[in-house]
Amino acid sequence: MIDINGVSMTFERDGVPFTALDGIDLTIADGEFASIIGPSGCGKTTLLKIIAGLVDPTAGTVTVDGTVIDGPGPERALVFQNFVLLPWATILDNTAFGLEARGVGKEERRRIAREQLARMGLSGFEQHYPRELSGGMQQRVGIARALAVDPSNLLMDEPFGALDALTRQLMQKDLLDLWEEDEERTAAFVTHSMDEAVYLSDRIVLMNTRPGRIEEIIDVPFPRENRADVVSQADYNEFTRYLWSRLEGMQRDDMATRGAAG
Amino acid sequence: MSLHGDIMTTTAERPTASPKSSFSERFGADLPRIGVGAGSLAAGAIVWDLYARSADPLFAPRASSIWTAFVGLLGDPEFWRSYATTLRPFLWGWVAAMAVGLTFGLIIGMSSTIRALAGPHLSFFNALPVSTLVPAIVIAFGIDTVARSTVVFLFAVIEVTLTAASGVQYVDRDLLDMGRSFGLGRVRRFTRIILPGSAPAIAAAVRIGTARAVVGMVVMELLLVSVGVGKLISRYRDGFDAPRLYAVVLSLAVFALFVNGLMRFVEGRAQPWRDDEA
Repeated sequence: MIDINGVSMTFERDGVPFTALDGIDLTIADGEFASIIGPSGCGKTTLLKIIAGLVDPTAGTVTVDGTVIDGPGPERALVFQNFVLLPWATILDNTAFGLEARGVGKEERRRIAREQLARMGLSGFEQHYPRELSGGMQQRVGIARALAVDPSNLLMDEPFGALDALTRQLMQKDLLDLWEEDEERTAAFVTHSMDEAVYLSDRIVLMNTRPGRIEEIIDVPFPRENRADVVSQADYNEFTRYLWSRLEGMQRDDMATRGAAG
Repeated sequence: MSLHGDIMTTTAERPTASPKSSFSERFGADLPRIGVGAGSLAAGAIVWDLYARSADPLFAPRASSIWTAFVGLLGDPEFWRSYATTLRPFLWGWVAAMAVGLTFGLIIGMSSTIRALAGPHLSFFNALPVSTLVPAIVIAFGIDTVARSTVVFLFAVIEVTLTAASGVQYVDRDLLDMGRSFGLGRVRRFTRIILPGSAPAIAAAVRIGTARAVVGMVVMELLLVSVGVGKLISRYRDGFDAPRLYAVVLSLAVFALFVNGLMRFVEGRAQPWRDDEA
């Protein structure tokens, strides 16, 4: 469970204080898949980094699995937008890297890494280097690395943002399948794709800019099972149309304020 | 549509190491380049020779006479003894410059405090022509191996330090964040991310530092009392033996090229994960 309590984040930008996040309150329940979506500049990635413990908020606390965090912890793992694999390490060592960081012995971590790679359809690529893999495959390694440490909370920062449309769809489907199979992890998933958010999540957290804040939290009204079949139904279209109108409105408001300010 | 569609496409493109790659397969693409280079060198020798026909033979001896002198030197045991004498302080100074420069460079690259403190000193010594320190070195250490090694060391150490330090600073921040997110400790952070991440810069530091050390070696031979290659140079100078003088200079160029090539080879081997090195 992830419990965000009054989290604010203020930067100094050219000597002028800039509020990236303003009083964020959000609870993501155990086993829930929550997407955080919003126009660029709404602080969604900063919020995820705060949950990951990589950035300290200026105010407020984040409680994960009952403990107030003050840095990264073993109950959380992060998947990065641009994969962030070690270019000099094999796929197997990259997958085992989180376990190595946590002091798991060589045999044990390689066994777990092999298992995770097999789940991601990457058996046979253990001794390859990242540069020999496509972007989609590299992100599969990124996900395998995160799952290998068996975190109760998986944090994903636009994990499919750098992939082409087709690969992206495949990855979304595979991630959904993974969750249907046996995953019962809590997931916080930052994205700027509305379809992706609807397709994957139990709940969608809609954020807005200036200052970065939560605008609305929307339950996705379709069961996570057979999500793939739902896509063609009429009420699915209605739901995405509603989401789209909200996002469009925020984007246009943002443009108007910037125009007025400039 | 297979779920692993993106996997199948790249399997075909995967680079495969051919166990029986013939000479032409390995160097075929380089042959025109090598040909042009050799032709250009030959043309340079011909131009030199044409000029030398009409010039003062003391200033510009014929290319053929330099070559004859060069071959003659290669058969002369004293020539090799001279190089051995010169190379000993070169090696000491080189090893010391690498050890001190790389260690110091890594530390400076990792600590912004030490970087702020050391920065002005490094800039000062980087701007200072090292030759001006030679008299001070003679006063401090005399003219023996220690003094000679010190000259070589001073010529190389600053460049090695600066190059290594900048390499560490440019280690991918995302990788460090990734390590931190998995709770990577300080030691592993260094051995698993910072060190391999700055390997290209370390290799470059070694190569640049080696080139500087060669310069230091020659300066040391010419500015201190000559015992090795420098002694050959002064002897042929005093005897107005221009062909042999040029032959010694030529041997120094060959030596520098050889060392430089060796360093490039090592640099390429230091980062096998980069495919643009092949």
